[in-house]
Amino acid sequence: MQSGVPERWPENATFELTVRCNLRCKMCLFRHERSEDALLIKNELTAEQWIDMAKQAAEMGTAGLLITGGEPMLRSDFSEIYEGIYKQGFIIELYTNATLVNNEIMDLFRRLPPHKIGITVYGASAETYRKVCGDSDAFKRMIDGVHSLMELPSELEFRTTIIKDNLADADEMEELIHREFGEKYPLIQTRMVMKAVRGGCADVESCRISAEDNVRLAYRRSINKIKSIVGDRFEKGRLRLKFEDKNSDNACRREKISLLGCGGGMDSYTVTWDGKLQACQVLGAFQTDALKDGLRKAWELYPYQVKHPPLDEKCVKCKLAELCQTCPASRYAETGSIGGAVEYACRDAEEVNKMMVNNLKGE
Amino acid sequence: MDDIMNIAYRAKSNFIHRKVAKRDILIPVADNVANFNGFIELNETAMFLWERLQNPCTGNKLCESIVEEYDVTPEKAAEDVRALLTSYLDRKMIEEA
Repeated sequence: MQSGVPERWPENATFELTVRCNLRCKMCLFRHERSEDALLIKNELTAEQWIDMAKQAAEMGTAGLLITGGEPMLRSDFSEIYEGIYKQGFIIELYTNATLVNNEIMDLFRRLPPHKIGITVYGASAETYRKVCGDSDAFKRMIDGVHSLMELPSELEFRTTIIKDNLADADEMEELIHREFGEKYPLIQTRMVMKAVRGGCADVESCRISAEDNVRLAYRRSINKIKSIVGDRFEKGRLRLKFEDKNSDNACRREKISLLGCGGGMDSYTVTWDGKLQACQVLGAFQTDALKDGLRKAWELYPYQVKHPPLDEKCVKCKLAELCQTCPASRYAETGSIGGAVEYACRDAEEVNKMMVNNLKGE
Repeated sequence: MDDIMNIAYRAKSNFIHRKVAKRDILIPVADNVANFNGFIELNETAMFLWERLQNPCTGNKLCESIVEEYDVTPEKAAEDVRALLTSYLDRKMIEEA
């Protein structure tokens, strides 16, 4: 091996228990159409297979494990899978919409609490939940579910994705979280909504907000955050927007060789609902078969699957490359190629650049 | 001799030892998540002692093991073991056997 080529260590894994969900969010990256699709259910890994996958992950040296879906609690055997995985010793994070939390699950979590729970929130009212997820009752179930989960010692994190149907609730959602659950919880917003992958049914282009509006929303939320910290001392005229390369100074973040420009396939991996290994949950372009060949072999063989096509000419020459929000996974989701130019991201970068130029002019 | 060195301790079962990228780590599980949300990395000596604490063991016995295994004086071994046991007790990682 040449010096400088890093070793690959499978420290963190994502287990995608299912791509089925009880909600029908319009912008979901992964959800397949029907939550009770017999063929999907038949091809999902069984509880025994997931527990064995976790055993293989532990033997390989995986420490951090994210359990996600779809909605993982939709699985009728969720408790069996969760307990079987948990007892093998991982730092467990769970992603959930918190609408299916019941007594059985709470009894399980009191005994075996996740280290962290990421809760997705879609709106600040039943009506918005109806528009975004197709289920108005889910709003109250989420509130009740989160109140139950708050009994646990688990760290909680709230996440949302903004589309046209919940844009009006963007600020109210954070206020709701603070009012219902506590001031200490920020609401983390997906920076850019991407097209669905791997057979996901969402028609994202029809519901996502324009790139320009998305940037303005991110800007406004950032200003609100600053104001919440500095209060009356905030002066718009003193605001400075600048680009900072967080990777440059920190030795730990120095440029390094990787498969895809991130930790995917280098220190992390995903096992999909049907047993395939990928660098991350989004990037379905390259897969090995963890179910058939075993997890260790699937991990070892993965780099041989990764093929880099030439980057789109537009991107090679782009003066705004530093502001670009894309990665191989998002390029793949948007264009079908990990080297494709993503028009939505181009407009995003242009809008950010325009704001920075205007800021320098004092506008 | 200090009391801490005469008492038999045992590692608590709500930490699971894992080998991750050539490092020895302890992951807190079950009721321990309430006390410690993260993981603990053990150096070679700490791992050596942690393995011995899987069965009841006094500080004095741990000292003997270290002296047998490593090229250290009994006094240095006692100093390290006392510090480690104190640290483990503070973090509720061990209990009296």
